[in-house]
Amino acid sequence: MLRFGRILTLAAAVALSPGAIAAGKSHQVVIEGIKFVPERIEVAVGDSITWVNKDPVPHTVTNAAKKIESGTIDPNGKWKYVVRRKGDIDYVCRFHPGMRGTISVK
Amino acid sequence: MKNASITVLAIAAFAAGAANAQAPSDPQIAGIVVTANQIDIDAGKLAKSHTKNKEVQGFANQMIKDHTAVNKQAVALAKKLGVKPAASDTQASLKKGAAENMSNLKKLKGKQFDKAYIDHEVDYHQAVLDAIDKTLIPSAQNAELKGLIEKVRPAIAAHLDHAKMIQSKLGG
Repeated sequence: MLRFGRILTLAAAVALSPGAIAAGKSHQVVIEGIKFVPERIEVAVGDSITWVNKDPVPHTVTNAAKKIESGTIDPNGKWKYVVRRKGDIDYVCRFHPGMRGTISVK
Repeated sequence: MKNASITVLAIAAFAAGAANAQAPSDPQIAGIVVTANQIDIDAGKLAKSHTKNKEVQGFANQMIKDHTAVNKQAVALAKKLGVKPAASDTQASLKKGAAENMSNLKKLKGKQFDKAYIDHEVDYHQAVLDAIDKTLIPSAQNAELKGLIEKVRPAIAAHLDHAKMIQSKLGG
């Protein structure tokens, strides 16, 4: 078990860039009323965002071009994403055409 | 024209709830909610197997997915509250209207099918919204049951907007 833990630690150290090793802030976007709340969120590289689905229907967080895809987030489900690059990321819910959000990465 | 009469029937079924002097009980509301969702799941499954239009297909998939999720929560809540979904005149009218709609849709193909399905979805979701606002929310006694219906309302409004968007693309 200890050995497995060491391997995981080593793998994580290799996989992450030096800048990303420092733990970022945690942010939350609530999905409620067929909306992402807040619709625009400002974060920094290394921060994590958790989407919490409080709607009675499933949703996704999707940006096909940037290959961001949560898969189905069921009611009461969550999905976490760690931001790796600067710039704006516009995203949608694949299931509900009017649902849009933006992650502004400073 | 036939489709229009079916739609009127479905709307009348919901409106009946508002017009009744006696508001539906919580068990009857639970019965109406479960039936209303199931009707749209069934219509969605029929559309999924009949349409070749990508947008109509996507809409049908969304209806199946969303209304299944809502029903799962409605059934779980009813069980938790010890509420047994009960029959009502509104529920019976809904079932009758749905059977007629399905029978009508099964006779249609191609663009005719797509138009009839989406036209009905527009009217159906408008009727459901009216029922939510005028009958179901005002009549629900249990706070959790009322809360679930309030949570479902934006999804129904989004379905209505989506259906209208497709309806305008399909044209007359």
